Amino acid sequence: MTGSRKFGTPGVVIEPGQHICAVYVGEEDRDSILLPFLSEGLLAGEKCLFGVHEDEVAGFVDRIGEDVDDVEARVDSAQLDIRAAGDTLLSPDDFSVDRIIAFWDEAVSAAMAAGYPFVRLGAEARWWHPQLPGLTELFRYEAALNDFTSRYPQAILCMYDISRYRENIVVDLLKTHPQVLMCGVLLENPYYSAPATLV
Amino acid sequence: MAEKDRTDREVTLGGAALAPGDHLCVFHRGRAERDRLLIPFLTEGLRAGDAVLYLAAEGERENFRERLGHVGDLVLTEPDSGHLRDGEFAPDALFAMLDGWSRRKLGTGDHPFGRIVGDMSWAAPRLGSGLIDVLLAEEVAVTAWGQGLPQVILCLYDLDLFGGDLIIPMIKSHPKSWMAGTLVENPYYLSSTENGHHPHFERRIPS
Repeated sequence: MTGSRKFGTPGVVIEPGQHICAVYVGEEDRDSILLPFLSEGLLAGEKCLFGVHEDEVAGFVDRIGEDVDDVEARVDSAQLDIRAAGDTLLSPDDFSVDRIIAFWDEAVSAAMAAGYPFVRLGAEARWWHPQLPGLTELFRYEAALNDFTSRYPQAILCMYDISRYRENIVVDLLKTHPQVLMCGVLLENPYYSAPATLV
Repeated sequence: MAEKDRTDREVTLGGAALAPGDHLCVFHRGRAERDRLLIPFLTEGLRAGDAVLYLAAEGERENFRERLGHVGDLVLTEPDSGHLRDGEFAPDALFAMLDGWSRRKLGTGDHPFGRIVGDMSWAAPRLGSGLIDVLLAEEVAVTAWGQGLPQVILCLYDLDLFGGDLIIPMIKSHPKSWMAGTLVENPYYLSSTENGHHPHFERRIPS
């Protein structure tokens, strides 16, 4: 059984099966969380699959390359799979929680079959929101991820720029994420609601 | 009307506008980050003629007195004369102190607006489930008490000292919080009288 791993942020450790919500403000703050998270995984030989808001991901991958050797080879081998804004899975019209979970399941099982010991999976909210019909579906999806994440040696990171929402979503995020990363501190969430109570 | 007489003055925290009656939980990481928010907030108030009460962390009172430059109506205390009595959290004594300060400062016309800030670091070494419940009740009661007064209240929680067992319920029990560098409003916040978690909080509110 795979064990604890470094998140990438100093002092933060992740366990297999964790589903973490990171709240932050702005792109610089995002990079301060996400770049170390992915770099740590790549250097440990793990699979990293992540959706970002940029239309072109070359610049983002270059920034990972500042801390990780052979980043282009890691992209070519699909150890590092960064999805751009237009590289979506579904549209709001054909969105279903089951279909998006099935996609992640297929991607992670393929990574396991390829021999990766652990998968770091996730996306910025700005990447998946255009694929969702609304916030209700978002929170159903987040709740379903809590069932999915326990199936494999993986950790899921959901990143929310909380300054971008007219609706305030923080309390809803707290209902659907067992862990919350805030200001570089990973908080266990005692108010997390088990998936069956939400879906 | 002179600026010092206005109760609708601009009050900002980290660039975000606050409103009279606001009570915020402020989450920060470490004292340096706290001070980057706190010093401008207190200075803005002192320069505007507000009455300012800062319940500082242990050993920090004189440091803040120096840094704030001896200007304006500034009252500084430390936990032993603020949140604690004989080393134990004393919510009733705290409320009496807060209410007395507000009535003295805000009722005379000298200071139409007040700013109260409490550094909650004192609670970290005392924290257990019992104290968490009492603190939550206290925060709800402070919200109710402060809503009718021309003042803003900040409670500072250091994320390096407190975990999710305290921080997450604090977010849920406050109408507004400051986290990750931004002001967050809680659309599900129940008014203090509707807050079902702490049915006996009313008795803490001075009449």
